[in-house]
Amino acid sequence: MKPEQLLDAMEHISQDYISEAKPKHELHQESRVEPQARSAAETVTPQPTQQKSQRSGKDITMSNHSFGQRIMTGVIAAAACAVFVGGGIFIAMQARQNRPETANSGFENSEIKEITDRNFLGGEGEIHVMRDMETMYDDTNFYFSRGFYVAPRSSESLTEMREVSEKQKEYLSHVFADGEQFYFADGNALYRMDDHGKREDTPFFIIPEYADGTKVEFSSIDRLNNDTYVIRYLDIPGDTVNAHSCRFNAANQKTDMLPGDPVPLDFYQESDDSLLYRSADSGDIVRYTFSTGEAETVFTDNHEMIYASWTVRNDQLYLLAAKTDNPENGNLNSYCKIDLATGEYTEINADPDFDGFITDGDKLFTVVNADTQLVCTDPEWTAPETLYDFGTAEIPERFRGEMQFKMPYCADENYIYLRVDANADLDRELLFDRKTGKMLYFYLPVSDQSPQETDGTNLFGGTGAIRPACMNNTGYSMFFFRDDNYYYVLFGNQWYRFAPDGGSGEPLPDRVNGAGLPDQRFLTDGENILTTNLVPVTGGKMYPSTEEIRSMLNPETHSDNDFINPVSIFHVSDKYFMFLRTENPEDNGTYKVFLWLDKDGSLLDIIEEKDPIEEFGGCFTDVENEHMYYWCSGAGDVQHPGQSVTIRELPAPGQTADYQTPTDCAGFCCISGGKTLYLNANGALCGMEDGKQSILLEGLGRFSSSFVLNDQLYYMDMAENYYVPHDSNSLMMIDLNAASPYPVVIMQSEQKNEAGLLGWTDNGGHYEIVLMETAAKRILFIDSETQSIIRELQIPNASDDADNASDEDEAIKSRALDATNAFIDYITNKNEAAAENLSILDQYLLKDGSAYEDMHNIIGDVIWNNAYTKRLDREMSVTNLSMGDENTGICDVHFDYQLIHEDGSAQDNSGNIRWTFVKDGEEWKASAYSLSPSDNANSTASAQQNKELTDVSGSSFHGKLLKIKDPSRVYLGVSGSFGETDEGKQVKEMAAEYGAYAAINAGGFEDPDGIGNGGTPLGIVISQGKLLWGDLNETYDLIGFDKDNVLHAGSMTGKQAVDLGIRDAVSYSPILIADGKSVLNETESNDYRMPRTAIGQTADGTVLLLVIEGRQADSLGATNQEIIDIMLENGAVTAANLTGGGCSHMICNNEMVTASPTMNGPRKLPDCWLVAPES
Amino acid sequence: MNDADLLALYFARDERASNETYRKFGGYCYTIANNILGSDPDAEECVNDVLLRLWEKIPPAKPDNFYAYIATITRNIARNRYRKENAQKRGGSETPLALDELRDCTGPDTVEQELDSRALGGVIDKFLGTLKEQHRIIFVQRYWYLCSVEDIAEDLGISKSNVTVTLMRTRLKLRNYLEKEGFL
Repeated sequence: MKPEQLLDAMEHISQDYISEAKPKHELHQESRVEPQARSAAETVTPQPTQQKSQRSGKDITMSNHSFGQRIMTGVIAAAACAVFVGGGIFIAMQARQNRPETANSGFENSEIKEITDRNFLGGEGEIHVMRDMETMYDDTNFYFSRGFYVAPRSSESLTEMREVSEKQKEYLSHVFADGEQFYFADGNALYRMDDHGKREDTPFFIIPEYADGTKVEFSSIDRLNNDTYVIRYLDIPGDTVNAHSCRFNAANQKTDMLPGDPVPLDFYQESDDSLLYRSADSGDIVRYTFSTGEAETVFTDNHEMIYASWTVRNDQLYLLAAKTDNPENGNLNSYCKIDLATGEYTEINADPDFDGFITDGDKLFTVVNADTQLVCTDPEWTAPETLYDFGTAEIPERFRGEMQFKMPYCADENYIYLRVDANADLDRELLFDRKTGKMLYFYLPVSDQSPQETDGTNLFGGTGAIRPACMNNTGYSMFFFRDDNYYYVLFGNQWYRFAPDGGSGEPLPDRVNGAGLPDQRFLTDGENILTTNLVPVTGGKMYPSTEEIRSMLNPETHSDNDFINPVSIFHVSDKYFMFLRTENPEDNGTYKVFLWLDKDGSLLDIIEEKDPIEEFGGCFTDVENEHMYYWCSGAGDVQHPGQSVTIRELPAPGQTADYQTPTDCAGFCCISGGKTLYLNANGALCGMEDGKQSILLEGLGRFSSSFVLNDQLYYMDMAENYYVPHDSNSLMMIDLNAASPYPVVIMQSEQKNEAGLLGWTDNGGHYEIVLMETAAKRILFIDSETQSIIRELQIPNASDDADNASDEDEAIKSRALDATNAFIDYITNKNEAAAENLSILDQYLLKDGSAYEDMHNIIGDVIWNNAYTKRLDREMSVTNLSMGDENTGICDVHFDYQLIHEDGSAQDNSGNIRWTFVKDGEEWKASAYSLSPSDNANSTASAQQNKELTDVSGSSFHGKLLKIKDPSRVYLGVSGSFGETDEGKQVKEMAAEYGAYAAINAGGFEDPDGIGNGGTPLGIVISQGKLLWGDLNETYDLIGFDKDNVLHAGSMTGKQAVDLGIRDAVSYSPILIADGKSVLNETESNDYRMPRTAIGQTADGTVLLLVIEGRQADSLGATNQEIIDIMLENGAVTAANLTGGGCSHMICNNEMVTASPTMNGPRKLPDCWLVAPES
Repeated sequence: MNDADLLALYFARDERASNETYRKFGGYCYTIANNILGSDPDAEECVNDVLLRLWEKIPPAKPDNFYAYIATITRNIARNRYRKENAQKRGGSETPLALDELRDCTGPDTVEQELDSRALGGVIDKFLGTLKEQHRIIFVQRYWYLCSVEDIAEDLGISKSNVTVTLMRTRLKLRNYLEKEGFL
């Protein structure tokens, strides 16, 4: 196929995709359009057109000629759009503003088009409002709860909602609607606003000013008729809230106040001079007459009314009330009408089975019959009609049993919105589509809670949410957490917990609630906590998994073998940010990767930088959490004169970086309020604001950690200045608001360079400084006001512990588990880089021990042969621990895991590993190990019934031995013709073709780069008396049977073989046993462990076919010596090694009875040893 | 003026139809044409051709999605023009770049096969349906609109490397998809 064909074929893609991808603005036209293009445009000469704004009735002039007007429109549009971040519009507008306006192109209606393209809710088309913005919809979306939740107007009956950003919510909290017209509340002014968020220039209504400057807030606007409105607002002087209502006549700008107490709700204009409303407190219906200022109760309800169920038709007030005439009936409702003229009370429906109704202005809607039927009726209740029956309808699974109470809340000609009272605190909404008769179900997906928390206790075994225990200017502490019960500190590799009032802590077991605690810090953005493997501990799914991250990386610079090391996460404004490092084993490249993420974890932007790690200081946000930055320097986080620090901004998607780093920055403190605090190269504290640098205080020298809290700079002084004694490491504070800032010593620590600030904690408005003394193993909380120590967390000293022995037990167990984990990792994960990182395993192994060399060999073999790719579902547990003397211990670990082969098939494995640990200095290290298969290790038991087939095992392997009494049954099978172009065949295939009972792999073959096709044998091949491959004059390591069924293993020429009467033979080496004795020297026999195949013969002629499984965590493979041992034990007088590694396996009864040595199954081979069925 | 009104003008054979179309869609037509052709005069001529073609086609054509209809016509006219003229002009057009990139999807075997462009388009369409919205938009902007990577990045407010990587991954996915569907 040619690329052109592909490009042409794109022509036929769906129009929806074309519209969807429509670029938001035309590109390059301003700079590119030539004069003739303009003249072409002018020949068209369209007239300016007038268009009525749908809501405000205000005219918008669309002109395509006035350049000035065009800019104006753009500015207005940008201003209108700038207040919300509803998606692309804002970004597009910004981009447009930045572009130079160089020529009048003739296409300038694009601005207006953009504004009119999307409404302020982010959708398209006219917005329909139902009751106080409770429910809205446009051409593309439904909006619930003032627009806080959005769902597409799909045809599905079950639709997922999403929550809008906090910025959008903030914007929407200023928006009001009277049922048709939108308003924007700005301070004490209410502006009319169109669907596109464009406000009128002059206010529609201004709340009367309060002389004392009291804060005011709009609460609602209702439209009574064309010109009159009821506007409700609050004034909030201090802690109290006063509600006000007024009738406002827009035509003559006249305002009449309504009584404020009790608060009126739900207005109905009875006449120009009077209106009815419901009292929020009593539920009474009240008539208020403006001319007299009198409020008269029309109807008194004994009970609270539900959902303001009243309406007025033809001077009749229809309402649902508690039965007033029979108080004994308690809450029984009564649906009645009251003649407004005469006050006559008539009961319409004495015992209605509904809790309230709404009206679309014509019909009434309610849910009756035990909340099962949505009905529509006339006010007189003459002919109620069932619109939807929840009893018989198919209700989506997640809504079943969850809807205790359903109540129509608002309706228009298209939809009826029903409120749901769900017993679970899940957000769900119901809309009845009046056109289709379909009920639409909406739900907000719940964020995934970590599984550890489902039983009421959290990952640490405490209760309540785990949260960071302190924060500082650059983020949150990642090893210091707390919940409702305890503080938790990671010190060394151990988590400790502390009572809230401090004191000595206790170590947490490694496994709490069945889950292992990581021995590294957690990642946290302050709200969400993740393990360093990116498994959420608390919070939602804002951050992607390692696998998802892989798919986001640039495939040109990253491979699937890359190590992904997440470093930190941040919640910045409405977005999430993750910083990670990748190490690429192929080019040894290390990358800094910065991810901007949406709240569902989807990628917004990715920035990758190839850079040496040692120059990188870290990522941080400013104090306001609006921006991300990172800083680089020549060294770690110790800041000192003479080094240069660069701060760079990491712009959020759609933003541009505009941060200028101070030119003389040698140590970084923080960015707060747009101001950067830093140390310059001379050790002076400096500030930079708007690009202007100034010195605040000279001669500070350097400090190790710092933060700013309430305009006070706290730092640990390195005592290289004249402010503090030289042998100390002091907690210092500088009041930045002071007229002449000067450092004050808060606390002196005697541990020079061993104390650091963790940050601060807000203890109910009371700030505490958190300081850690590493050498003394304690954390101090210092009152920021009194500067006294409030509490102290002391990490217990393991060596002081009375129960020393059990500590040692725990240490060995933990080492054994870690070593097993690391070991299985290397055995089961194909990763060439793993070889270079054996250091992880090495820290558990004694250098001179047998385990060390053995494991290195086996891992080398596995990695070389790319044995496996993936392992899942690992479970490990210590099954036994026995201590020898105080310096040795034997620990058994059981493990289960599943291997995933490249073809997707899975294989269950389990086994036991016995570690011998010895004390090497302070640490326990493994000197030796042995493996034994688990009882259920082999699922190949079926073939084992046969007595000829037996299990064999050794300290590090297991395998199968097939004993064939009658040697004449053993012969050589071949794949067919040999040669480069002829592929070999799998043993199973050959066995089937020959009709053999059993088979094992046999001779070697040409295998360039380990990817040979198995079609070209190495050496000689004689099958059933025929010389198929090899030369009569050449010498071979021949392994074969003569016509008397005697196994020969030795060096001979092709001619000698023929003369000997060899009927079946292959070539391989080494020969293992001749005349009943091993013929290998010590070096040869103790080579590395791998999967192996061998053939031998006993004195009585029995043929021994042996296959040892290898490259698996429960069977690493055998050495030559171990093969020899097995052969000798079974009486072999002659034995030879056959091709091994990825070729080793055994077939019996058409089944593979040994584990596959490679992830792709056994390799294709030119030949195999076959066993004929018993005659 | 909304699309229905515009369509009504065409059906009434009212010459304002062309003017209004130009006012409303001229910028987009120009952009598409210019992406493909990389030349201002050519793109301008192309836009005029589009207006003429619309006048000829509507009626009887009655497009449901006016924007997509115009965009498709523009692309076709511009692509044809590009094919005619690309021997001489290679200037700022995105076409050769896009063609080069698409080799990722077609593989080394660039022999022109007899194939049904419509069927292939259908497969691509199905493939697009499997993509995430953002990835689909990026792909269509690149290979339908022939927007430059810079423009896509600016349009969507994301980084250029993000666009490049997404395109590359999507091309490889398409290649697999085409293989699975038997086109390669």
